[in-house]
Amino acid sequence: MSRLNPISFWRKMLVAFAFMPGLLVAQQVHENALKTAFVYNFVMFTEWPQEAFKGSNSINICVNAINDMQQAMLTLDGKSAGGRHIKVRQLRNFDIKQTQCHVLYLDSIDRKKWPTLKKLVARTAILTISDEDGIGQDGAMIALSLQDNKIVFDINQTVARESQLTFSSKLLRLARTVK
Amino acid sequence: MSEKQPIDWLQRGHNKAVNNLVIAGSALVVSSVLLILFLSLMMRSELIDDCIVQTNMVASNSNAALLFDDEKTGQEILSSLATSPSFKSGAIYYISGEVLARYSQDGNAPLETLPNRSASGNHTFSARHLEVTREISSNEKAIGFVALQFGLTQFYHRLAGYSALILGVALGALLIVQLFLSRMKITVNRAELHLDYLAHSDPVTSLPNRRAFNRGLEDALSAAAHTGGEVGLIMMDLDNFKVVNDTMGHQYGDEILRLVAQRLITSSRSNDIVCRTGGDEFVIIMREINESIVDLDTIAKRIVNVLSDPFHLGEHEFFLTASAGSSLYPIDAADSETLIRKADTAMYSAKQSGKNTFAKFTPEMDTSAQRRMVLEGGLRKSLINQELMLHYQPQVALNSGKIVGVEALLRWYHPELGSVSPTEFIPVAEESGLIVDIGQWVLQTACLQMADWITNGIAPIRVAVNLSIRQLKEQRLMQNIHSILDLSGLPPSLLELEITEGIMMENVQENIVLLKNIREAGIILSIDDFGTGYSSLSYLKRFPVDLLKIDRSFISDLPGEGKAFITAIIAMAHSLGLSVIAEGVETDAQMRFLKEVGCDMAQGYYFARPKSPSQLLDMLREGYIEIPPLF
Repeated sequence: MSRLNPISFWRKMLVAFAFMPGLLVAQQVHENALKTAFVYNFVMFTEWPQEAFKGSNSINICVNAINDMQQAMLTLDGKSAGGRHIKVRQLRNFDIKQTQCHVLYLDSIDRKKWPTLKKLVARTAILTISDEDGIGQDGAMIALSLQDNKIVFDINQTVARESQLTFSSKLLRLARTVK
Repeated sequence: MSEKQPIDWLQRGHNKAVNNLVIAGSALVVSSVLLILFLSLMMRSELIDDCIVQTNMVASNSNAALLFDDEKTGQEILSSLATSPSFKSGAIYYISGEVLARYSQDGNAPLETLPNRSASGNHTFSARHLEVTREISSNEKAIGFVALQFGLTQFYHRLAGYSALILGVALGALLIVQLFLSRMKITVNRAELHLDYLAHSDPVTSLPNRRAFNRGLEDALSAAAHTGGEVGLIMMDLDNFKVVNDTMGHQYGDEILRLVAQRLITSSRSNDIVCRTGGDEFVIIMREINESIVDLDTIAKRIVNVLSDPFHLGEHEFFLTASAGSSLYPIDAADSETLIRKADTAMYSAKQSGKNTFAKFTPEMDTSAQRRMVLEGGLRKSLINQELMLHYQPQVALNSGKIVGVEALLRWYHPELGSVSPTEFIPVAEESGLIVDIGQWVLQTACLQMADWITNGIAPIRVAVNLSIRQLKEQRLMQNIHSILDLSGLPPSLLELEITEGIMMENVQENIVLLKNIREAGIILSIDDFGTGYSSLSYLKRFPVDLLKIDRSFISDLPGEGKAFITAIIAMAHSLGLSVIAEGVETDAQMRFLKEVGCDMAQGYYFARPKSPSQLLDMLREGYIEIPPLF
């Protein structure tokens, strides 16, 4: 229960910070935490094919080592989801071949690399979550965005199916759009 | 009298039916209530299960919405319950108790209060609502809960519907049962009435039987006790019905009883109850008699008269006579039992005073009836107490004065009553049947006495003993006579048996056989009281008798009008080869006349009174009684 508390906590915080526009940095930090919570929830409502866990029982969340989100994301490390432990992995130069990833978190700094990455991750059981509109519209499975000051997400189920990933209907229901 | 009972019974039957209905109704109501209660519990638990399932579904569906703080989806999930008819409102809560989403069916207030919750979920069933709470979990952790409120209107509607159905069915069943019961009741009542009729009526005449008579009399008496009225009772029996029944058979007998019943009904008043209380015994209960005595007398006499008219059955014509006695409530008796007894006493008295007559009860009858009872009681003990003894009256040959026999005559000395006349106690002995034993004793005593005299040197003479009708009917009579003769050693020719003319005529065929047997044993037979009964000459010829005893009533008429009759009897008897003996000779003139017309023997005070054996001994030794010559 405590692990999920941050959601409502940060939700409250978010409301609190809305009245303090001056503390932008702080706001950014809390937005990252919120996004991290979203990522965690996505993990819980996603099903990977069995082969994706060969040799290990952890769900690996991979983030660009130079990403701002890295700090927030590390809070997920060690948590459990669906009987597996979450491991947060930092990618350098997107050595995606060397590192086993189940989730790949992408945002604006990964934009340039995306066309290359996209080819690498195609048809592999890696859940791609993007916080950047460009990547989001270009084949990421889940695309986060802000709408009316709220985080919303869109799902590209076509790509996910190609990678043999299944989203819970509960998740689909919450998505703004499902492709 | 029987009109009252059936109504009473029907009433009782009706009450019983109402009781049954009430009991059956109560049972049905109780079982219906239990059924409804059971049903409501079933429906309640079904509803709770159903609501829990719905709540579970909402709980499992809403974790994502809760995780993503998606109020809209939360509301959508809740609103999906709109199709559930009993759903009223619901809310999804964070674990902190904060609300994610609320939803309420139109018109219903949204769920405001935070319901009670526990880890496994909870439900509260109140009078108007059912509230179900369920945990929402994700990743095996509770992240919030859902609370749904369901309305019970539909539950109550359905329960009311089922209850109405159950009660309706119960009511229908009750009506059918009632219909069935009442039909059965009617059948049972009919059967009861029929049974009552059978139990209270005589199958031959259809008249009320003894049981019905007893009840009818009780009713009549209690009614009379209320109104101060009087009730008359006429009891009668047919004097010679048994003869008809025995000679003609029961079918004729029954037919005659029906005719008698008809005559009784037509000759009594419409208000009277005619009952058949026994074989040939009828009773009439007369209610509401005004001129009581006159009424009773008139009816009773009319009945006796109407019954003496001949009965025609096919080609046969029967003559019956009846003896009737009456008693009157409350003058003669205060209760039914006494009233019956007094009517019976009166009837008995009527029979005694010659049949075919009517007598109404008088207190004197009671004393004579009581006397009779005392005599009967005394007679029963007389043999054991040796109160009986025999006296002997000599019989004399009129031509020589020789004592040719003695007649044994029974005497009874009762320690309290003293000497009781044979004319009084013999009929009692006859009616009570005691005469059989007494007659046996007389026969034996007389034979032993004569044998004793003979051993003591008395010249052998006949000893005459009277036989009663009862003795004649005894199967073992001949055997008894033989054993007595053997015991005493008396030659059969010295024993004379006297049978009255009336008895002889009663059962001619059988008697002829019996008399022949007696005669063949060498015993002398005489007809007693000759001239008082049928005096049929043709029968006289057929009966194997030796002696005629002319009844004392003819002798007492002598000399005078009896002369021609006695002359004729003697001439006729002699022509048939019979000897004649005259009884009750008291005067010289009588003796002379009898001797003159050739009467063989005589007996009476003129010669000797009956005497005890010891008193008679000298006379017997003498052997003769002096008779003065005729001229």
